[in-house]
Amino acid sequence: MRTFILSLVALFATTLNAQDLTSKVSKQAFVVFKVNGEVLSEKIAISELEKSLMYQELADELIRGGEAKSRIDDYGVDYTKEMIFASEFGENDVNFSYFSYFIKDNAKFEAALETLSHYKSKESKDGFNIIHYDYNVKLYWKDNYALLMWGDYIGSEFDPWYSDYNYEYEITEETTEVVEAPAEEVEEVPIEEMTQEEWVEYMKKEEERIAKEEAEKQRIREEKRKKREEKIAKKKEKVQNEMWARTNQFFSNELASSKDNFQGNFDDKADASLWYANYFSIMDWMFMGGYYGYRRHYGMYPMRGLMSMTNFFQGMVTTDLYLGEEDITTRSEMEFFGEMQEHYANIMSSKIDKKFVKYLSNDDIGYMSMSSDMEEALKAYPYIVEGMFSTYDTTFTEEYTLLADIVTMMVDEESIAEAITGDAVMIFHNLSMREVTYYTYDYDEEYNYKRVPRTKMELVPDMTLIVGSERTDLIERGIKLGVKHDGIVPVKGGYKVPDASREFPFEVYLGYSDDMFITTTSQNKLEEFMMGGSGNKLDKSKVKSITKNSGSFYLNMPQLMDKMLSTDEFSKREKRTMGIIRDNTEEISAEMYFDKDKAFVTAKTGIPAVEKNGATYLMHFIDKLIEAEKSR
Amino acid sequence: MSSCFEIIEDISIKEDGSGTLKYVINFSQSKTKIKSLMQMDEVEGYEVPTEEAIEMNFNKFLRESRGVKGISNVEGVCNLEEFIFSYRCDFTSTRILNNAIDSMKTKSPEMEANHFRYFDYNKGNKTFKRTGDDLLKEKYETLSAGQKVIFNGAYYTCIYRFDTEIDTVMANGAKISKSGTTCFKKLAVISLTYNGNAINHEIKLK
Repeated sequence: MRTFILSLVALFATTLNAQDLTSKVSKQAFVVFKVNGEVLSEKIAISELEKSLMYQELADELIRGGEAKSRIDDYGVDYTKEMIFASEFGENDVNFSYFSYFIKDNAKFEAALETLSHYKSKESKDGFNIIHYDYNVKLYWKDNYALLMWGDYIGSEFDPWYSDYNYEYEITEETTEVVEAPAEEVEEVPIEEMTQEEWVEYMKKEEERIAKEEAEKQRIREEKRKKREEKIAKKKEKVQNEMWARTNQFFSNELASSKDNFQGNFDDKADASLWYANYFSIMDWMFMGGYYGYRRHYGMYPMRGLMSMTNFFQGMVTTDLYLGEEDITTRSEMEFFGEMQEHYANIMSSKIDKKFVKYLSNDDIGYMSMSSDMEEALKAYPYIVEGMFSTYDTTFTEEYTLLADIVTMMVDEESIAEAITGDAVMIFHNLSMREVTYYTYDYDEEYNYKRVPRTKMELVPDMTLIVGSERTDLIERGIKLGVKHDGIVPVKGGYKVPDASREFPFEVYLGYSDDMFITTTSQNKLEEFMMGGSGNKLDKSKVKSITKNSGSFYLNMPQLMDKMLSTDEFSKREKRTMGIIRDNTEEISAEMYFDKDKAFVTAKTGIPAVEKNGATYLMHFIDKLIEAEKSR
Repeated sequence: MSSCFEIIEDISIKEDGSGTLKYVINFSQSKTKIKSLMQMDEVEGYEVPTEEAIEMNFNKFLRESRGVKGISNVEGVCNLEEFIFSYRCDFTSTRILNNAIDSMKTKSPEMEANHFRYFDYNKGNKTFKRTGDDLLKEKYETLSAGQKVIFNGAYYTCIYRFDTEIDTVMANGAKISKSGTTCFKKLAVISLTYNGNAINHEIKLK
């Protein structure tokens, strides 16, 4: 009896789990995105959604090649439940990306699919319905949910182009020889000396020679084509088999039972959620570092990779989106990998020196502040590098760790921490116009040309980077040396880098004051800072956000758009879009703090009072952008 | 934001078919944008070359073209402050010029020489032909919408100079100089991304 009851409980649990699409995602996933239909459908009236341009665009995309439905219910999809998108690493050289959702009305679902041109490929197999869009794109449905899957072959064995590279190159080399040979042979009969008849005869021979060469090339191409086709056929078979195996696994409860499924934790109250395996690859652009893709080798930019700021920001991220009545909020939780959690806690738990606040103004378009404990960061650096290179790509773990150890041995953490405290603020003050000289050409009546200078106005950002330092003696010595070697020149308020505009699209000014090292693009700002700060008291909420968190971010989007609109740098079309963004967005702010072994980031933007909630706001905003695009 | 650049193709042909090629690529108007891009390692999947790499490749190009039989007096200026690149050379015949372009193309493993006759001058019937290929069109089709924007506002200028007067010109929008010996045509680069033949000229001399 006990066994029977346990079996019943297990069966019930299995049925329950089967209704949770997220639990069907593999732990090999690197991206999981979930739309929480249950929460979202409460916020937006379906009748209103169906009238929107956004829906019309989506409906066209959903049933591309088929008949778009004016009523969402006619698709037969259950939009009041979760919908998921995921990308996973496969075990056997095939990765998967898929979109899965529940079906409310099988008859309507099938009727919608019948309008697709691919519907003729429909097949029924082992209880599944399958539409074959392509060998690697298929829609499977069974019971009450569907799976639209893409398979991506990442191996080399059946890659039709993989082993052909050297072969291709050899042919190109041969062709190079062929090009030069006729030049030698026909040198005796210069083309310019030919009569009309000789010219025709010459052209005929040339064409025959080209035709012969082309025939040889065609033969080689044909040989290569056959080899490629064989590989393509094997690749297709492999991808289809792997997709079929993964589909069977997805529609079963196999992964959840063996705990081999995705273990991320999304908030059930969120409208949408995202999980990403390693967010430092997203963050990297912020620091202008090299792109770290999964397939790209870390060693591409060894020093930049090793010393990059992004090394301090790697770990998995979970983000929940809330489309509230007064604002749109995202809450992210960043969990660092393995033993590095402890080190991050030591590095990131600091708060910025309050002195930084006086350099910020309410008039600034945006800013980003960051506080970290430099001494702890340097001590933890070898562990961070080791952790980073043993997570996904272990090829050079030992080499990089050794290098990091040597760096650590060579540096005196305490002294460096005094020179660079780890506190920094990047301020985006304004956008201004700058006259730029460029060169073009003027022509005379014989079309002889000469280079002439012209001027035009260009939009340039006014920015400042302020870094904390307790060793102003070192900065002073550096500045003196810079002046001595003409690397910098004294100006009112500080120093200027004379050749900066050759390297950058703006001027660069330097100064130091009150244990701060200042780098700015504006001489006015430099003077202002050297006099003791912006003089414009920052709002209390902003002060709190900067001083109570490890990191803080602010951007006044309407102000930024307004500044951009006041210039002639953009086309009418771009300005129309900017105008919509200016009129329909508010300030964006974010803050980050560290607690125990995780970093928490909350980002927020307000919504106009006329909007019911964030969902209706986004729908109306997107509609306006679509309308502007259509009116072009 | 679109970027602006101009290309000038200036060819002088003597009666014996030899001549001089001058080629200018001028990115001066977009130098601020280029300098910004050069602060990065990669843009939209394309590796951004360093100034050193640009200069090295330019010098390599000069060195290689000096080695082509029939090409002489090669000169070039790589101005990385204004991003203006200019090149000149003398050639013994248009066929040599075509072969030189072909052999330069085959240095790149991606390109295959197809013996394209970009320039043809026939002394017998005193006819000069400039024919465009679809290389730019093919490349353009592989670009993203954002990358395609770079061709907006860019111009390609063709100047063909002769020792004798021009009789007829078959090329839309082409102009003839006051002396009647030079043909001039300025076209938007974007038109070449749709049709390489937009550059075609057939010039008959008196």
